[in-house]
Amino acid sequence: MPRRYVANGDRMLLVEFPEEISKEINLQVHDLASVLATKNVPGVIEWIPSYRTLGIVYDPLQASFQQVIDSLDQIEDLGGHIQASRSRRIEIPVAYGGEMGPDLDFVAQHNQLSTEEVIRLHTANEYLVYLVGFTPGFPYLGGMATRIATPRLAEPRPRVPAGSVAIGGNQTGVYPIESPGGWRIIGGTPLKLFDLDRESPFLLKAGDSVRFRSITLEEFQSFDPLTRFARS
Amino acid sequence: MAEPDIYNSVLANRLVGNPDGAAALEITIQGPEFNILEDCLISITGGDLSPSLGTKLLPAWECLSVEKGQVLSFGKRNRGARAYLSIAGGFKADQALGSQSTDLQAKIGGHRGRSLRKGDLLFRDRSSSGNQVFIKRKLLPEAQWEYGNPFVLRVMLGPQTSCFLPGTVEEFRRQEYVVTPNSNRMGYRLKGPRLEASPSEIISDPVPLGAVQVLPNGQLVLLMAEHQTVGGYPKIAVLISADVPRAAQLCIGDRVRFEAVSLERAQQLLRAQEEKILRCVIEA
Repeated sequence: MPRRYVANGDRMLLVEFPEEISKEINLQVHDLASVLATKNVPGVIEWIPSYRTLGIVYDPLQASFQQVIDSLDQIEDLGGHIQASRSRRIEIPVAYGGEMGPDLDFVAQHNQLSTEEVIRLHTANEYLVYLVGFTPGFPYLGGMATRIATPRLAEPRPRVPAGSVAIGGNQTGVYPIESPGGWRIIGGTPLKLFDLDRESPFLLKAGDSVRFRSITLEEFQSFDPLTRFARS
Repeated sequence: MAEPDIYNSVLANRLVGNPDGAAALEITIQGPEFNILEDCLISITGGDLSPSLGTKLLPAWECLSVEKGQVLSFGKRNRGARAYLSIAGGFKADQALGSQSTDLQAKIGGHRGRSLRKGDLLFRDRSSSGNQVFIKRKLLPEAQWEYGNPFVLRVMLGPQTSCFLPGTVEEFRRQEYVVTPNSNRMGYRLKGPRLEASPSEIISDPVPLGAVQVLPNGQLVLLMAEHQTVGGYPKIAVLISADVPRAAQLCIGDRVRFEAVSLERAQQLLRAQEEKILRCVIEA
């Protein structure tokens, strides 16, 4: 697959794959990242996988832009490295609407659907975690029904509560921590997507499959924090 | 490391003999008052927030010994926005995901993941290799910070060059911007002439420290230490690493202009800055 190297400032190199959101392209990004994890590329500090771009942070005092490119050009054998880690399936319980989902009505109106229909469509599909980023543990999920796509807020909210399940354009995701945010909030999950006290602080990883399940407010409130890893 | 002004946090550590990554305190605009409970060596660098010991003003940019019972305080802001306070041995701080830096949004690292409050007790991290022998270091004046207003910040153009017409880039380089009150450790909102990006959103991609995003409303955001890892707004430019510390010293109302340099020049300037620090930290 063709790739292009672009400087993103003086200490990040972007490896860009074709400009679209697709599983195949995203797999290339994560494959390259997983190869980097097994190699010690001089000067490379860390990397940020996204949809179609891998951002590689390097120390320019140790390696030049061209030297990092030369190292990357030696990595050719891609494909299949992280297939195994792509098989996790995780279910996320969501209390839709009400105070937890102040924008559910808007999403329904915007798409000329009932709120029940929005919930049905949102829980019907299986989603792929394309990347985790923005704030610690935020999953960018692909595969949402276009019938519930809704544009972002014109002015982001200064505070979106942790656990908010939201729609931004054609994407859906979950806010792991309280943060500013411009996506439409349709519900809330009792799961903690980011918890430093856990052995694995991040609930979701790129490559995971996610399904949402509708729960009542009572179920939300009675959720046992010890069994909240509702994995199927 | 997640200090916006890495230049001054590194300097503060080197002046007291700490490793570069030792936990230091970032003091923004309005300084706290510390009761010193044990004799120790400290250093203060960065913005001038009138540090004083009792009633006596303290010099910045050098290793100082302070004694039990003394009161270290900060007062009027003379220039810059952030001062850095380091202690020989480093401050004891929470470790989170391989860093001791505080992330206010994620509420992790530092002191319980939050800003300091009245009554907090801070300890020296005795486990780190501090300046056990009494060697006082200071910084030659030539490496102390230069401030100006309007600030000229150097950037590399891109990476989303195709989102901007040549005229828009020209406009960006010519105009002056003002730091608005809607600014924090995550980023500064800059107010200036409206810039147009087309398309106005991209497929979210990695954002570096110092990225200059163009929002759909045509205004700019300069991303700082607590910036997000990926973003969907086009980036017209990225601040060069050597100038990130200067941006960290901006205050609300300060004016900035951007000057474009090449990648080679940017890396050259960073190397020169590092060499300057190495040369200018000397024994007092």
